[in-house]
Amino acid sequence: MSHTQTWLESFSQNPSVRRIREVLTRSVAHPIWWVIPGEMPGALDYSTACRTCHYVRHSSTHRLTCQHRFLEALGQARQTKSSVQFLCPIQRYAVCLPVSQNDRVQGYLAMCHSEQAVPKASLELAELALTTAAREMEKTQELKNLSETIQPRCVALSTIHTIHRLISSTLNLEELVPRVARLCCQVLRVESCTIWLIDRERRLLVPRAAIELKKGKKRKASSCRPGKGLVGRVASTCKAKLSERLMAVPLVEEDCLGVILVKRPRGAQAFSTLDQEILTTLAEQAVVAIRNAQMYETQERVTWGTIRSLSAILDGMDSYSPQGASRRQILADVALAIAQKMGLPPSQARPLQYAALLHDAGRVGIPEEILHKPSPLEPAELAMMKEHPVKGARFLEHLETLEPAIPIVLYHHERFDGTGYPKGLKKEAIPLGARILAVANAFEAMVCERPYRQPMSIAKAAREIASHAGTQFDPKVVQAFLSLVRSKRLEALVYPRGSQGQGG
Amino acid sequence: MDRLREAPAVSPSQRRILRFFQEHPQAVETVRGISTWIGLEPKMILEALEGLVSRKWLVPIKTSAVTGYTLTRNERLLGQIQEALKGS
Repeated sequence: MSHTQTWLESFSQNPSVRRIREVLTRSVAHPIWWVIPGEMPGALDYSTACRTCHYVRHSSTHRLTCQHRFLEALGQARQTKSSVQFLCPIQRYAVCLPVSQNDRVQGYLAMCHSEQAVPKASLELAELALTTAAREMEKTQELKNLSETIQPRCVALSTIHTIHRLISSTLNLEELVPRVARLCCQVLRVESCTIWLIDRERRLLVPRAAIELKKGKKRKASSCRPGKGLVGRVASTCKAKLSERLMAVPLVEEDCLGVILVKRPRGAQAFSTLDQEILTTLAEQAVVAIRNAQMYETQERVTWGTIRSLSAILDGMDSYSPQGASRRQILADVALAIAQKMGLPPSQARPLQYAALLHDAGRVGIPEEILHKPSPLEPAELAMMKEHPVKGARFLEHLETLEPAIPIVLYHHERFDGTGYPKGLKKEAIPLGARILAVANAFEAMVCERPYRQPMSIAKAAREIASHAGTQFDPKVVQAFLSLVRSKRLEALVYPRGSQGQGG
Repeated sequence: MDRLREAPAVSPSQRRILRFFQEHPQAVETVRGISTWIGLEPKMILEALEGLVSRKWLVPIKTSAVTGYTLTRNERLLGQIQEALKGS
C-alpha cells in the first residue's frame, strides 16, 4: 500500500475527522465531502461528486472548470496552511482545510455544494480539530513504525533466550547436538542441518547430528579432516562460509569445537548476512552448552574410573573368587537393568550404578572372620555388620559427585515392611534406588558363589525373591525384576561369555 | 467436505497463537513468552496449545526444565493452518 493510500485510509477512518464532518454537515445543507491526498494533487477524483452535483455530472468541460477553481483554492490553502472558503462555478460554497503533519501538508479535507457559507468561527474550530487529528495520526503512525521495527527483534531475542534454556538444560551430548540441529532448522527455516564436532584424539571432524526435514530423505554425513573440504576449512580457519544455498559457521570458544552446516534447496530464498548473523548467534549459544556437556562427560568418565578403581580394590579384598565377572559389576548391571525396566532416567540410574559398585564399602574394617563366617553371626557381630551402610555412606560423603548415591547406599538394607536397618524405613519412604539395590543385592548374593554355599540357579533365586515381595522387597521392583528373568536378560549378566555356573 | 476435514475449527485463543507464529515463523517460544506476545493468561495458552500440538500444527521441544513451541515445517499442515485462519 502506498503512502498516499495509507494516509487516505487512516485519515478517512479517523474518528476526529468523522466528527468534524458530522458537525459541519449540520451547519450547512447537503454538502459533498472530499478527502484529497497529497500536498498538491494534479487532478481530482469526481466519482463521488458526480453522484450529487448536476453541474459536473454531464459535462467534462464543467468538471475541468470546477477542478481548476478547486486546485487554485488548494494551492492557496497549502501556502497559508489555513482554510480557504470560495464560491464554485455554480455559486455554491466550498471549503478547503489543509491537513499538516511535520509542518508538511499531507492532504486536504474539503467540502463543496453548500448553499450557505460556513461561519468563520466554525472553520477555525474545524482547523483546530484537524490539527489535533493530524497529530494523533502522526503519533499512531510513529507507534506502528516503532512496533513493526522493534517487535520482530524482541521476538528474535525471546527466541534466543528460549533456545538458550532449551540447550542448556541437558548435559548429554547425544541429546544436545541433535536438539541444536533441529533448532537451527526451525529458526532458519532450512531443510537440513549437520553438526560436526572435533575428535581431538583422531584429529577428525565427526558428524554428531544430521537432520533432514524432507520426508523420505536420509541425511548422510561423513567425517572429514580439519583443513580439507568446506567443513574442514571452516573448522581450521574459524571463519564462516556463506553462499546462496549453503551456510557453515564454526563452533568457536577459545578454539574450534566443530562446525554447523545448513542448506536450503534449489529455488528457495538465498541466505543473507542476517541469516549468517542468526546462525552465528545460535552457534555461540550452542558452543557453551556443548563445552559444558563435554566437560561433564570428562568429569563423568573420571568419576566412573575412580569408582571402578575403588570397586576393584573392594573386589580384591573379597577372599572368595567371583564367577568370571566382579560380583559388584554383576550387581551394578542387574540394578541398572531393573532401573531401565522401570523407566528411570539416566540421572537416577547412574547414581544407582555408583551405589551398586560401592554399596559395601562400609565393610572395610570388619574382621574377615566375621565377614566370611559360615555359621550364623553372634549378636555383637551382627550389630557390627549392620553398621556397614552408615559407614559406607560416610565414605561417599567426601566425593561430591557421589552425593545422589549416598541415600541408596545408606538404605539398601531397609525392608519394604519397615523391619530393615539402619532406620527401619517403610515402603516409599525408602528411596527407589535403595529398593532396587535391595532386590539386585539379594539376587546377586544367591546366584554368586559364597564360601559357605553353592550358587543358586536364577530361577530358584527369582522364586525366593518373589516370595518376599511386599515384605522384604518392593512389589513393583520385584515385578520389573521377574520380567527381566522371564526375558532371560539376566543370564547374560550373571554368566558372561557363556560361562554356565548355575548351581542347584 | 474435504476442506472442512482439512481445516477444523479453531478457538479464538488458538487463532491468536497461530497468527503470532504465522507472523514469526522462526520463533521458538515458551508458554510465558506466548502469553507476553498475545496478551492471554498462561492457563488459557496452555489449553489452546494442547489442541494445536495434537493437530501437529505446533511442535513442542521438551526438556526437563522448559518446553518451547515452534510452528510446524510440514507444508500440508501449514496449508491447514492457512485454511483455518481464512476469513478471520
